Amino acid sequence: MQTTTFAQAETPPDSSPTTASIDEVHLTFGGRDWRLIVDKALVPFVREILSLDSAAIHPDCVAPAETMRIRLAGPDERALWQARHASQAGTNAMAIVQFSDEAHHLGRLSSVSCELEGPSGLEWIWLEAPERLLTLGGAILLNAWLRRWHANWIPVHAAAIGRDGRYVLVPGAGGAGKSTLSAAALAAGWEVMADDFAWLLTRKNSVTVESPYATLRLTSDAREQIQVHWPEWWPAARCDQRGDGKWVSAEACTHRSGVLCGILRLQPDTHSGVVQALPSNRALLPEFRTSHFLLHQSGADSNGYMGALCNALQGIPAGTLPRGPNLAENLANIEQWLNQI
Amino acid sequence: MPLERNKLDVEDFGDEVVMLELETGTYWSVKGTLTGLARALLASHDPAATLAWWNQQPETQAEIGAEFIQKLGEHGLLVESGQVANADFAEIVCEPGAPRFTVQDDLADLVKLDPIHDVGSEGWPNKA
Repeated sequence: MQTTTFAQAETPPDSSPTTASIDEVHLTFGGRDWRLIVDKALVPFVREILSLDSAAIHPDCVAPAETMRIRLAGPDERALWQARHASQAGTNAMAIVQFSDEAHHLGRLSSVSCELEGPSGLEWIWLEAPERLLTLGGAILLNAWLRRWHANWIPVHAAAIGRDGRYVLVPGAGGAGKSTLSAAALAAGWEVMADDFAWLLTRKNSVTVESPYATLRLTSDAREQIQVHWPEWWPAARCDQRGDGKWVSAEACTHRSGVLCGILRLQPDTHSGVVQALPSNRALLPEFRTSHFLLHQSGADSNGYMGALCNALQGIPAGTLPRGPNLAENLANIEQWLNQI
Repeated sequence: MPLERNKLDVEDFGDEVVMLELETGTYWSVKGTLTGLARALLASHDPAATLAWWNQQPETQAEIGAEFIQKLGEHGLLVESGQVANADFAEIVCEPGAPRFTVQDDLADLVKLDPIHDVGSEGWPNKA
């Protein structure tokens, strides 16, 4: 990690009242230039934790590519992280550091996020594309899982695609076809909220589904599959190929929030078929095992996840889609099912 | 050798007991009369005593009960030194139906990766 400079900056319009006095930190890590907007009281800790040396100014950091705001955190998460940190002494020092300032505000700073407790309660750094963070992207995602779980949301490892604000949740582990289906949906003009992760919240008469970021990821094979049906299609947003060959489009998803109307399991098949209704959505519970595991990994007490999920999904139609190689047919079958439920 | 309860998240849905191994992400689904065996083990009863009790219940199949306990052992879910509950099974309920269980451990490769410490520059699940 190289350093840069601290310079006075204007308070951003959506900044918390408790961060009226802020500094701007420019630094370089992970091969990118960063602009951190930091509460002044935190600057010494940011310096210490990120090993910033005020004498070492990075001359090339004139136009930071990424912005990260350092904001507020809450006591529940802090206690959990403290417990986790205590039980794994030393192992996550680089990822998560606990600290307090002179006013006894406690906070934590990871390589990719920082939060403090303050009078206005919890705040969360929302990143449009966490995988663009070049260090410990998983840490910030798990942080989001824990936080949402504590705010009565149910985090799920699933894609969410829809029509006219009515969304279908497609859970499954890596390789199930979530991202390919999401990209195909995008190519076909559907609404796409998430290709991999989403949160659910039960309201009075409905379940809201929301996505943590707008990124879409696609393997080269999936890209070829999609171009069979939509030869001209490619995400309008910036799209880069990563080291593992996957294409990542940073702001591809079209929507951030909607109403959950159905849950689908993808069943690999030689031909696409009509959606087979399931008598109970509990049959889909195994599809959420990565969701449950990730929640545990976040440091949350995940006991009760499966029960909460079943309660939330109660009454939401569930089905199995025989997923054939013809992506257009798969979508047509989902649309037919959506129109029936 | 009672069950290592702290290695599991458990949900009892009445007709099905579902367990997730917290270290590996392995998913267990237990149905039918085998729910009674699972409940007894989760209540810290001794596996041998539990199996002997369970085999006397209606609709049980000795080989499935033994296989279930053996599988739990293979997954490191039975602990040698743990305290067992006294052999009173009066409150343990076996749901009706043929005993069966499924174990899905296909997340093994995925979950070996600690999402915080082992991930690469592109984030979980890409290894460092």
